[in-house]
Order: sequence, then C-alpha cells, then structure tokens
Amino acid sequence: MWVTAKAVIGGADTSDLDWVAGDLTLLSSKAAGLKGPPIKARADGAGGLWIAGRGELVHWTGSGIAEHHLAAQTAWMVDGRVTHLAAGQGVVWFGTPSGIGRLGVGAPAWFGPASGLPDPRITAFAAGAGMSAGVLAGTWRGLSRLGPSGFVPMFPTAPVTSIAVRGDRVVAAAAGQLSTCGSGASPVGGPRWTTALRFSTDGILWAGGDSLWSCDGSRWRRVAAIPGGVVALAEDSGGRMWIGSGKGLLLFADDRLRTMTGPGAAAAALQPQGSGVLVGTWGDGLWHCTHQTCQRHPGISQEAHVAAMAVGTAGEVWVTADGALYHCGAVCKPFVHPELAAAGSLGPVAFDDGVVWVGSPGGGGIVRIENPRQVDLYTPDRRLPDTDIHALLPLRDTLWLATDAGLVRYAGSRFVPQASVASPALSLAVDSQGRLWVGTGRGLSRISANGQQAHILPMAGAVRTVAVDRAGHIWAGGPDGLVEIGDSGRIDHTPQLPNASVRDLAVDAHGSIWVATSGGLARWNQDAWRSYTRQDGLPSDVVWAVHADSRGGIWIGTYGAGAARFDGETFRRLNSSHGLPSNVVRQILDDGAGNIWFVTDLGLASLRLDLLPDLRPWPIPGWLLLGTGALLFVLALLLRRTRRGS
Amino acid sequence: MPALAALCLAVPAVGTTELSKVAVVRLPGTLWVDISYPWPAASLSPLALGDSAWIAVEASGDGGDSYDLPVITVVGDVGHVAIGKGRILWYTGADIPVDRLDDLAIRVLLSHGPSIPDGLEMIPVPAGDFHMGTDQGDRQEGPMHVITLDAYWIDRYETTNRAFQRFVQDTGLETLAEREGRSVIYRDGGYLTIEGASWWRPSGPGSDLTGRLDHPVVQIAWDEADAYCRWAGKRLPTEAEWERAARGTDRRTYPWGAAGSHTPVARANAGTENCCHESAHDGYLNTAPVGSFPQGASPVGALDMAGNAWEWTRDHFDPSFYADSPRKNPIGAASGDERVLRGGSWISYPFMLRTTYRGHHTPDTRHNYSGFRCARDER
Repeated sequence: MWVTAKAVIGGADTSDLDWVAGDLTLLSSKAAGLKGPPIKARADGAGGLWIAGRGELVHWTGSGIAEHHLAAQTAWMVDGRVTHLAAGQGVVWFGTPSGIGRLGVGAPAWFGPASGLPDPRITAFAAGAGMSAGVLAGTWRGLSRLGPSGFVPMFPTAPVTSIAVRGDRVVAAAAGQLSTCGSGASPVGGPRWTTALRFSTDGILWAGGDSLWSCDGSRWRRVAAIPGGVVALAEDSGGRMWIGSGKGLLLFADDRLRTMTGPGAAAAALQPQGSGVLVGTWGDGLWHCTHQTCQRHPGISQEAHVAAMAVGTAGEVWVTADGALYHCGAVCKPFVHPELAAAGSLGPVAFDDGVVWVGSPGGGGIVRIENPRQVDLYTPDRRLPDTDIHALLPLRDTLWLATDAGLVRYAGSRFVPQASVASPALSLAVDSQGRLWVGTGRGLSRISANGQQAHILPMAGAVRTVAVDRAGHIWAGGPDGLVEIGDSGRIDHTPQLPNASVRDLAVDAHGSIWVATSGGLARWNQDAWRSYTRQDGLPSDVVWAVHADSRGGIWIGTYGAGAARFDGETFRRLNSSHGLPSNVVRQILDDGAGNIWFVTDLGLASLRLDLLPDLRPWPIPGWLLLGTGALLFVLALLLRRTRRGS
Repeated sequence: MPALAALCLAVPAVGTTELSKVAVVRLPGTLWVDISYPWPAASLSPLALGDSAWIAVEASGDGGDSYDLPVITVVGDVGHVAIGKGRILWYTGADIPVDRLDDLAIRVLLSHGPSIPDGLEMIPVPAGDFHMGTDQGDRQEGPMHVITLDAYWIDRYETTNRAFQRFVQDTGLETLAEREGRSVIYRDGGYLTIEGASWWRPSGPGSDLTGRLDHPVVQIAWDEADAYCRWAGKRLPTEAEWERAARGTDRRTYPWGAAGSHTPVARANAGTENCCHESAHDGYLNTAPVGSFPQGASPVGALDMAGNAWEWTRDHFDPSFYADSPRKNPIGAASGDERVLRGGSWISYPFMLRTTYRGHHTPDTRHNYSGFRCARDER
C-alpha cells in the first residue's frame, strides 16, 4: 500500500513514500549467488534475471540460481581435456595434460607444477573413497601424492603408466621399468612395460604387460603369457581375476587361465558386477560375463568402442562408448543433454553419491549429472573473459555482455569474445530491426542480426549508455555528452544538459528521452529540453540510473540518496529508510513479470508494479481492449457483407 | 590389438633412414600408443652404424600424407639408443587432439648422429669485414664500426619445433617454462603470464604444435637455445655473426634491402606500424613456417632474419659495447644480466626488423615470440 506525505523542499514539491512492511522484496547478494555486490542486471524474459557482479555472472531464475560463472582471472580450470577421473566422498578429481582439478566439497581447485606436481601431464590416476592418500597422480615425470601443502614427489620418477592402491600400499608402474612389489628377496620384477596394475582382496598385486604377473609381497611370479597383452584387470566378488587382453577376455581362477568365449575385441574396460564382470570392448560393444558364460548387453552398438564404465548405487551402469554416454539397466539407453553435446566426445566416467561425472578428453571439460534435468558443464571456455561487465542484453537465444575486454556473446555453454568490436564495450541496445548497438570506449558499433558484421561510428569519447528511440534514432551518452544519430546526421545535445557526464538513458511511452547525468535529470520531449535538479525535488543531482516503468512512471537511481519515482509533478522517494538495501542505486529495471528491480551496491530489491499508482493517461483494462477488439471485428465483418450485398 | 600402421622403408633422406616394419598399437581405451621396431636390418646400409644410433619418431594424422603431429611425450628406445629391438610408448593425450588418433601413422627415423630434420641446412658466410651498427638508430646501435669475422656457417632457418622435438626426444630436456609451470604469451594486445604455456603449448593449454612443426620453436630460454645448438654440434651465433648474416657487407637496413623498405609485407612475418596486434596482413596471425618469406632473404640467403621470432644470440648485452668492441670476432661483453636477441618477431614494429636493432632480455625470459637459430665455425 502506498501512502504519500507531501513536503516542500527548496520551493518544489517532493514526497517521501511511506511503506508498509513487505512491499519491498530483498534479494541479497548471497541469495542471488553472488560473491560480491551486484553491478548490472537484466531481465531474462522468463521472470528471472541475469546479474553481473565484479568478476561473476549469475542467472537467477526467480526461485534459484541456474548458472554462476566466474571471470577468467578467478577461474580454476586451466585445461578442459579431461583424461582421468576419480570421484568419492563428494569430491571429483580429474587429470588433464595441464594438471589436476578438484571439484565438489570446498572451493574448486587446480594443481599444476606450481603446486608441486612433477609434471602437468597426468598419465595415471588414483583417488576416491577409502584411499588414505587422498589422490595420487601419475605424471610424465613420476608419481606424486597430495600433502597438506601441495603435491609431494614419490618413487618412481619416470612416466607412470598405472597405479594400484590397497590401504596404505601404493604401487606405481613406470614405462620401461620393472615394479617393486614388496620388501622381500626379489621385490623388483613384473613386466617392463606395465599397462595394468591391481591389488586383489587377498593382497596379491597383479601386473599386466605382455604377460600376467603376480606378486605376493615377496617376489614376482609370471603367471602366463597373454596374447595381445593385458589392457585391464578386475576382480569379481568371488575373488576371480578377470583379464582384459588385446584380443578379448580371460579369467584366472583356481590357478588356471581360461579364455572366455564372447568378446571378440580388446577388453578395454572391466567393471565387476556381483559374481561377474561387465566387459567394455574396443570395437565389439558391451558384454556381461560370469565365470560360465558371456552375453552381449543390449542397447549399445555391436561395433562400439567402450572407453569407461561406472556403477551407480542402484546398480545402474554408466558407459561411455564412441564418445557418447549411455545409461544402462537391463538395456543401455543413450543419455542425451545439450550440455553433453557441448562437451563433445566423452571418455572417463565416475559415480559418487548420486552424481555422475563424465570427462571429455577432447577439451570439452567435465560434466556433472545429478539427474536428467540438472546437468552442468564445466569447461575453461565457459569462463567469463573479463571481470568488468558493464551491460547485459538477452537477445533471442543469446546473452550479450559488454565487458572491459570487449563484446562477448554467450550462447549455449560458451563465452565467445567478438573481436570485431573494439574494447572496452560499455553499453548495449537493440533497434527495431534486431540489430545490436554497442557503445565502446571509442564510439558505437553496430552488429548485424546474424552477429557477424560490425559497422563502426567513431565518437569523440566513450559511449557508456546507448538507447534507441521510437523513430529509430540512436542516442549515445558518455562522460563527454550526448549525441543523437538520425537520418540527417548527428545532433549534439550536450549543451542542453544539466551536466555533460551522461550516466543512463531511457525512452518513455510517449517517446520522450530521459537522461541521467552527474548534475541532474533531463528530458527531451522531441521539441524541447527540460532539466530537473534538487531544486525540482530530486533526492540528489548525481543521477546514475533512469528507467521508464510500464505504468507511466519515471524512476531515477542516485548515488547516495536512493531512488525516486516521478509522476510528472512530484519525485516520490524510495531509500534505505524504506528498506532499500543501499542508497547507491546503480540500475532500475522491469523484469517483465510484474516487478521493478533496484540494483544497489548492497544487493537487489524488487517491488510489485501493481502496487504503484498507474500514471498512464488513460489506463485501459485488458477486458476493455479485448471487448473493443471484438466489437471492431464484428463491425468489419458486417461492413464487408454490406459491400458484397451492394 | 589393432595395428594402425605398419610402414615400409620409404622416402630415404640424407642422413636419416626410415625404418621398416614398425608396429604401432593404440592401447585400447587409452591414449597410449605402443610403437615397436626392429633394427638394424640389412637394408640399413649405407649408414655406417656402430653399436648405437639416434632414433626419432614422427606422427601423421592423415595416414602418412603429412607428418605434422607433435610427438613429445614419448619414453623408451628413442633418441640415442643401443642397437637392438626398440620399443617406445607415446602418451598422445598430452600432445595431440584425440580425434587425430583415428588415422594415425608413425615413422621411426634412424640416423648416425643427433637427428636434424631434412632441409634445415646451414649456409656459409665468408670471412671478411662488414659494417656493424648504425649511427641513425637507438643509441645502443652505434657507433657504426667495422668488424672482421672469420668464415662461419649459420642456419638458413630459425630452429623449428620439429628439430627441437628431436632434441627433447633424445635428451628429455625439461624447459624452464615447464619447470615453473608458466610462461608469457602475447595475446589480444597484452602480455599475459599463462599457466601451462611452454614450447609445446606456445599459447598455453588448448594450444599445441599440431600442424606447426615447421614453425620456429618459441617459449625457449637462453640456456635451452644454447643446449640445443650444442646437442646439434653447433653453437649460438655471436651478435656480430648474426648481424653479418642478416646485413651483408653493404650496410643495408633490412635483410632484403636498403633503408626505406618499411613495408615488410611479403618479406617478413611481423607487426604493423600500429604494432603489436596479431596482424594477419602478412598471411600469418602468429608465427609462420620457417622460410615462408623468400623475398625477405638476406644477402647470404638466410631467411626470417626479420620477423617471425626474435632470436637469441650468444652475447651478453651491453648498450655501450660497440664503443669498445674488439674489431675481430667480437663475442660481446664478458658478463651481464641480459643476452641479446635479434631480428624482431611476428608482433614487432617494422623498426624492430632493422638488421642493427638490438633486443635484450634476461636469459630466463621466454615468450611465444622468441626462439633462436644456430651457427658453427667453418670446419
């Protein structure tokens, strides 16, 4: 409810607004998902907001945070080529050719040579629940484990091909080197080129190369030659050791090696499942084998190349094959989502606490799947290119960002800098032909509807606000004044302004231009200029924002004196005494869903538009519009019949 | 295991022989490639082999049409190895995009000395006098003075990624940029320290050397340039040798001609008068394959002496050295915090392309626009 109390300041009418508690809805930075204060916001067209802070961008849907992006300078992911993955206890670790990333509990983190890694190239990996070491990284220059102050080198110091862990015991194989299996008489041995390592539950270490080897803690024993070499090892619940070879599947049980009939290609991925094993082959699809028989698992191509598998808590299996993700119960079904498509070809997969993680070795980053509707893609390409976002503009399927680094286009899952526009980009507007106008540090740029071509209008100074009036004229304002660009050229309106430093522009329903300046508010009614200052009731002459609301009012946001709504005669104030988070108001906007928003330096606040007095000359109710339209339609029909009749 | 390629002896080249019967296997479901080769074979004559040789590996992503994939993360019987059956493991995940594995071909090259890619020849520079420096440039470029040099040889081209790759395959060298985990790149008008940038990721993670093996190697600190030249049986040129090879004996301002040739288009891969934006006006946004500008050849036939990549020289930098320089075979100041770089690069202003312009940096400096070439005494 609105109650106004008139007062006279300096001879002009002014009014404070009295508020009933609850009229203003506050949205704190924290609730909006921001780490710092909001700077700019824009309606997303669906009742939510895009909100920019310093170094961050949030998509707030009205009920929650849909997206949160950090700028490059504060981003944590250095490389999106995820080649190794391990998840456990709410944390996912992933290895790339440029180091290791951590995501989940706590702040995302990145570990490279500066964190003690012997080499950024991760070639083998071990991490997850129940591992006392936390994470072990096999790198191109040796093994390393994460300690309290970073990674600590371990033996071996050569390229690590595989790692096996059992409690506190860690064994890593290095390319071209024999492995140590214990402290007995002949601890060094095994294959020189180890391609797979695994501890069985009885403490035996198994190593695969051209042959299968085992170590009981004191000496290595060559179990058997494996045609095609060993590529994977797994132990089922019955204590049987399964061997994926370059030619198929073998089973070692009761001290006997048996070739399994079925998988007809390299068994590249093995996943124990009860008393059997799921077998992902490199070119012969997915199989399920028990110690008696193998059966093809339906739903995946018989020629598929399976890269990795993970089992969920309910026994469901997630499989990456030929670069795609499958969700397998009795039958495998492709799991499709735009974020997966954006990630590209998929490789390693892991499951933890109801969340599936999938990596993309091709550079698409890492995907987090909580449920079919909540799929998040993390990739370096998603990073905001800059910390300073000066303007936001959703247009069709694209969000445009004016940043210090220039114009940036965000569509789908990538931020793409637009090199054709000079930096910094400061302001954005769209004209009736759908063309984007960008105010830059050097002038104005126009982007065609297809987003490709730039038409440049050099200006004397920076353009920090741009607007398009009803005649299609472009208004460009900045610290050096205001220029109108129309069919007949440029008109400099600066001398008519109360101050040359233009902060914001708005076009009202009558086509008038409202100009926020550092020395007051100005209005151009297509005939004459009129200025408003504190003498006229402005709460402050330093006006940072101006906005024409959909009920005929003109709002201003000031630096230090809150906001005010102008009804044509009186400025009605809204400030911190009424519950506004701060009196520094950067921006005012409609969300298109019946609310007006105030972006202040201590958070956002909104007000329902229908609480505001309707100032339109003849407010027309919707039922009247519909009724009038129907009446006109009937009249037109009648007229048409009458003419035919004549 | 599927054999991706089994290549026969082909394209014999001077100094190197491509081995036959090379077996290449991608370990299924991984990014490791297992390469094995038998040698020596009777067909390897006429190479005079002892009981060891140098082995280099190169890869093609198009079945063998062009060997333009980097092979850096390799271990095993590569480089200087003893005679016998060879096996190499290559972790492709660090070197090439995963989609290039589908049509992979490998060639294993054998030579009886450190393996230098074919075509990277040296050119002779005759003994004699030349005018070094200028009185019209920066103060440190003068005074102009006459220098006498003994005859020497200098690389026609800047050292390429392909050549440096062979050096790393043999020595396992870890560059300073790799050890520190970061390096400096020039991009979008600014200098950025990028985590993960190194000679094989010249613009940081996401960049690699695919298709760039014949570009100059960059992100190289002075010690690494010096080490490469020594490995190859050469050395870094002195500043005087570099200038003589670029300028000839007629005091020219640019390698291709006299003063006034301020337009490097078609003669050099360089920046513009506006400087330092990744200008593609010369056809290359970044470095160019060495030797791409034959019209920019110096009087002795050396290429890219202007632009493409700055080149380390042997000399310590002393701005006043020319005033007291020895007149015969100078080797620069006895000590100093910086070393001299010459020739400008793909981001340089045209005035930096002058044969007399003296760049200088501390030896630990590396960028995505500085590399080197080697020289050697006449033998």
